[in-house]
Amino acid sequence: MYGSMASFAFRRLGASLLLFLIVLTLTFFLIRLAPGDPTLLIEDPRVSADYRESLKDHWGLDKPVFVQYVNWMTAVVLHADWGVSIEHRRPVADLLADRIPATVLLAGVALIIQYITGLGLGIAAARRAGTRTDHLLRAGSLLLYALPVFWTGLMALSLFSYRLHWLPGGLMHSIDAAELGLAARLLDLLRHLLLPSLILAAASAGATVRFTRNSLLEVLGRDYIRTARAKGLTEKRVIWVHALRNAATPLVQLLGLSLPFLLSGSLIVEVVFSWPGLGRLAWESVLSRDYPVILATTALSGVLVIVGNLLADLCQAGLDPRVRE
Amino acid sequence: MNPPSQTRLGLLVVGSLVALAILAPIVAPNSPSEQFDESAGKNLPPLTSKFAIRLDDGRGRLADEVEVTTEGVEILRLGRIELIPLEQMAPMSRENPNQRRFYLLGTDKFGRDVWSRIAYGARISLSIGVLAALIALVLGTTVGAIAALSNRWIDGLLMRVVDGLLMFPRIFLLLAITALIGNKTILIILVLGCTSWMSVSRLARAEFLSLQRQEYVEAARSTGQRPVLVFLRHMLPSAIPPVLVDTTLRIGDLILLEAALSYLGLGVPAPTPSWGSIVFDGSMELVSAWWVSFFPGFAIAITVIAFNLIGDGLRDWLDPQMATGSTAR
Amino acid sequence: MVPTPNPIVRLGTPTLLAIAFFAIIGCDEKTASDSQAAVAGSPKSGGTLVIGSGDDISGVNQLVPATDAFTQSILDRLFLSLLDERPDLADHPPTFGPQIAKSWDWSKDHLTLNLTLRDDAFWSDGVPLTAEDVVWTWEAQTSPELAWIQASSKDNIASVEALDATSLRVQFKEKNDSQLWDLNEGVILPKHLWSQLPFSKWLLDLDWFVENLVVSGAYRLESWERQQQIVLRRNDLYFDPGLPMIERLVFRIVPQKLNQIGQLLSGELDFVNNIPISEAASKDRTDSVELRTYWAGQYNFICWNVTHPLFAEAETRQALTMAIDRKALIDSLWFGRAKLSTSPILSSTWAHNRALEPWPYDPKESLARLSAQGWSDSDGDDILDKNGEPFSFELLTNSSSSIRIDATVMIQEQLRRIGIEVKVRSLGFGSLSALVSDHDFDAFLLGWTADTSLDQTSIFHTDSIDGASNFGGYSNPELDRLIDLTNTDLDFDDRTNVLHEIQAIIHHDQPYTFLWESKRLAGISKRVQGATPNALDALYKIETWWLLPDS
Repeated sequence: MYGSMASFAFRRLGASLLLFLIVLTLTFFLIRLAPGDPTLLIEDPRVSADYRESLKDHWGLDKPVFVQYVNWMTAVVLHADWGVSIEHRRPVADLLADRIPATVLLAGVALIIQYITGLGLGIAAARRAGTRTDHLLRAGSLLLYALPVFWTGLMALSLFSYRLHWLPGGLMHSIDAAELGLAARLLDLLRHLLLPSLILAAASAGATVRFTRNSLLEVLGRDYIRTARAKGLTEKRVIWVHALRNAATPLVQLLGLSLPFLLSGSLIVEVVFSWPGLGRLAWESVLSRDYPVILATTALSGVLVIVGNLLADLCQAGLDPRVRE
Repeated sequence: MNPPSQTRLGLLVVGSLVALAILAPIVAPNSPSEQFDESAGKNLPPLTSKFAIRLDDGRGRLADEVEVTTEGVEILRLGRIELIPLEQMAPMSRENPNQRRFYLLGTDKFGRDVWSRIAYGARISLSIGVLAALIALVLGTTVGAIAALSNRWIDGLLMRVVDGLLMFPRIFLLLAITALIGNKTILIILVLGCTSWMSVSRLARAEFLSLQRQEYVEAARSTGQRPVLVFLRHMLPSAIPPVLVDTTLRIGDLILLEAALSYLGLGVPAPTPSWGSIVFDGSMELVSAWWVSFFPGFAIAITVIAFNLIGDGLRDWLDPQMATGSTAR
Repeated sequence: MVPTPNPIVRLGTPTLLAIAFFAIIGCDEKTASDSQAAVAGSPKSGGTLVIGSGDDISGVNQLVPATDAFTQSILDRLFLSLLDERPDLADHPPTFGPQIAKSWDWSKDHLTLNLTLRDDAFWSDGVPLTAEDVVWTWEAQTSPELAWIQASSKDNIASVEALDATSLRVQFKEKNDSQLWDLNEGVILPKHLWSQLPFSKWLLDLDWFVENLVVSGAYRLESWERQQQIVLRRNDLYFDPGLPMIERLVFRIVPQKLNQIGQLLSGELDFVNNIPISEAASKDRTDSVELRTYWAGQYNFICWNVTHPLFAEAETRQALTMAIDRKALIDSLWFGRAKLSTSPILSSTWAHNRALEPWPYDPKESLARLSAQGWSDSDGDDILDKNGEPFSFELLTNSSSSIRIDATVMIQEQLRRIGIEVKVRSLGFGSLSALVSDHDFDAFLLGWTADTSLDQTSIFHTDSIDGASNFGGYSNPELDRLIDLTNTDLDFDDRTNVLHEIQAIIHHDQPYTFLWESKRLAGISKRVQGATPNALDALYKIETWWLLPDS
């Protein structure tokens, strides 16, 4: 069994690497969508002549596309070299390193909230399938899905921060955070994290509720559950032990599926709440047409999804031996 | 609510939205980009009504009170009394200086009528959503058909590219592309459509693959009909309904995406109103004029819900086994 | 001169304040002296002042890369200048007070300047600040390898020599009014550290200067978390031992103005500059914040690209100006609290030509002039056309200024009324500067922070079309001659006359449509005492500000 897990992990890793290369390749060709094509990067008048030459050298922009492609891929994959930001004049890799933790934190916390509420409400809906509670929950989750994230974010911000002064109005830390004790610092971070993560989670929680409900309902209709009930097991035990275990696989699948959605939402939430993450960096770089950073953030958002999917697959395999076959 | 009434409600809402979009010039009392009085008409709350006098040079004056005198009109505007001579007034106002303007949902910082902007914004938001979804439908079905009908290698390659594209969070991809090619309305429709076909192609491919194994398709093929004809006559018509359901649901998604793009300042260019950009316009004045951002957000939510209700209803109708509940998205 | 998305910040004294200083709607209008009287109790030192900013700084070295206004305002806290420029330019050219230089005297021909430097100024690592630093800074400023954007201000300086540690001799090429101004441009940099990196490497490694930073100003850089915050702490080696009063300045980077205002109201920020003036009308203010307006020393304009066929004729540009309701812009965007601009020399300066009548808002006359030039709506699409070409152009502005973006939207609508189609686009400041320096635009709306030398060379002179700031490519030989004349030795009356004539020509030719002279609105927490933001510096004399202890 252990061996099969390892070989499964190995196969999934291989598949993820392939995807990784595809994502990078797509990014590389993305810049060729532009009318000026590869010279776009070096035609920006903000770029000095020296820098332009070094860029040309660096990426081999006077060489055939295939050679450029190989050079670019080698630089990015082997040396994590994404070039230098035109706006910030710093290596793009440094900029990314500053921003990724904030995004992972925000998206991670939102994911946890999304799962806890989604599971809880989804189970509630499934157990009361067909009742008014069920309908209400379904309506509520549809509403959450349909409200634009930037709008709920703005409304929450103006209510809880500007009018009621309960929560800070954006950013990640208070100014004195560095001087606080560990516990106080954590609390400070939580206060800043609360609104953005709730807003981000709310957008996807609706989908989780619906998904949980439907997976559970499907499982509850199966024979072995009827058997378990017939044996006189309590409803709680039936749901938590028997049904949920079998509904877990699709739920972990949902994790992988909702990651791109989560990161997209995160971009908007980061902009609304001035959260210093990857999404805000992407947005700022688009506004200032900072092409190296645009490419890097786009590719990296894809890579984050691949990593998340890989983790989800591995979890799933751990939960359900059949997946490994 | 049971499924048929859900669908009916959805259809009703979408129908009224389409009517709103088409009839915008009638339903909306004012032009969506007209700044009738930039100062006295700024950030007026919902349900405000004011006297409106048009000047000969095209500008407007909003007044709390109007008194007609021999030389012209005296108006109370911004707490001051101003005299407007007759010759400065447009003929329409000269005849009837007591005309009023009613702002159902208030005005924004330029004195533009929020209700009119939302009504005209429906045109942009709906047409972008629908057109982009249609592009995705055509592209996705085409790629799905090619993948299903060609050999393993092409199928594999296409599906890996689809996987790769699906790995990009949409907003990141959209931002990068608009940064590269600009944000004209037509480009936005194309970009949204061209980044949304991937899951359609998966769905279509699965449909075509299962259809290929259906007896009537095999029978048609064995009679020696040309593969293209078999595809067009026997496979395409059966594959369309499920893909259409998916498209209906996708419209809501695309409307949300377009709104997000507009909010981020990369949507349709000003002064064309789009629901997302109206929210953005109001976001600077959230404390003093909440209504500007508030109502378009509602419009977006209602539209997305309506398309989802229709999509869910259609799905249940096509596939009664799923009627216990809609699938997760 | 620097086009400004933000105020450029320089030093000055409070003489300007009496006219430029209000509290806004809802508060009584106060003058500077009232606000001084309102200061409660005796000043106390210590505490942390938190200031909001929309952008991060671009670096700590003024010479690379080109500094924006916000970066400059931080650098002015970290580094000293040779002299202290006073904003007393209402009646005559500005005068200078001591800073690093204690005293100075001119040779008879007014070409040689001898300065005596103070001997108690130190870098924060304890090394004394000497004449050598000044000489080396001048070498860096004029180095072709660095190509400092303000380098032209040093054109008139032939040499800068250190006679000993505190004596400096400056040789000028010719006598004119802006000699001291030219000399004083730019802060003094630490030779003993920064000369270790050859100029050729400066542009490539901006982080090096952060790692090797010593300062001479009232504050030192304690930490810089990029895109988050910049923390300055009092410099114990600052030459005035009593100052600064406030222990720590924190600049928080909050990109959205809305978030800045929210944080100001909730007490997270103490000082937010450039609040949209519409917010002043909001009744939701808390009692803990005071709003102050002050003149920005800036004029806003539309620059027409005269090399574009649409804008080649002065007649057309005049017609465009007449079709833009500038008063409506001021009434709506500034609630009446800005001034109509008529010329590149601010109405508050000594050389402003008061005889100029602003072009009237007269869309009919405008349309009449356009049709005289052959423009008419021949195809009935509500847009004027000539030879089948519609009158349509793109108007750019910078995305960080909400007032300017709003102004472009209003102008778009005003010009639509007479049948001109305007496409508006806002861009990041970097991208915008790139386009306009390349002359790759139709028209743009921006503001100049008018420099106090009043020299119009870099903006309107034909020689400035390439490489300087005459972005619109405007050229008028007579104007060139007059501008050149201002850079020679003229007496006060002649100089005034020439400057008046320059303004009259620009007013007639309208290479720019002048819009408004702006005010700024600063929101200041009431625990901040002694704050007097003014035209030259929003954080004017911040070393003397102080904070009320928390109650």
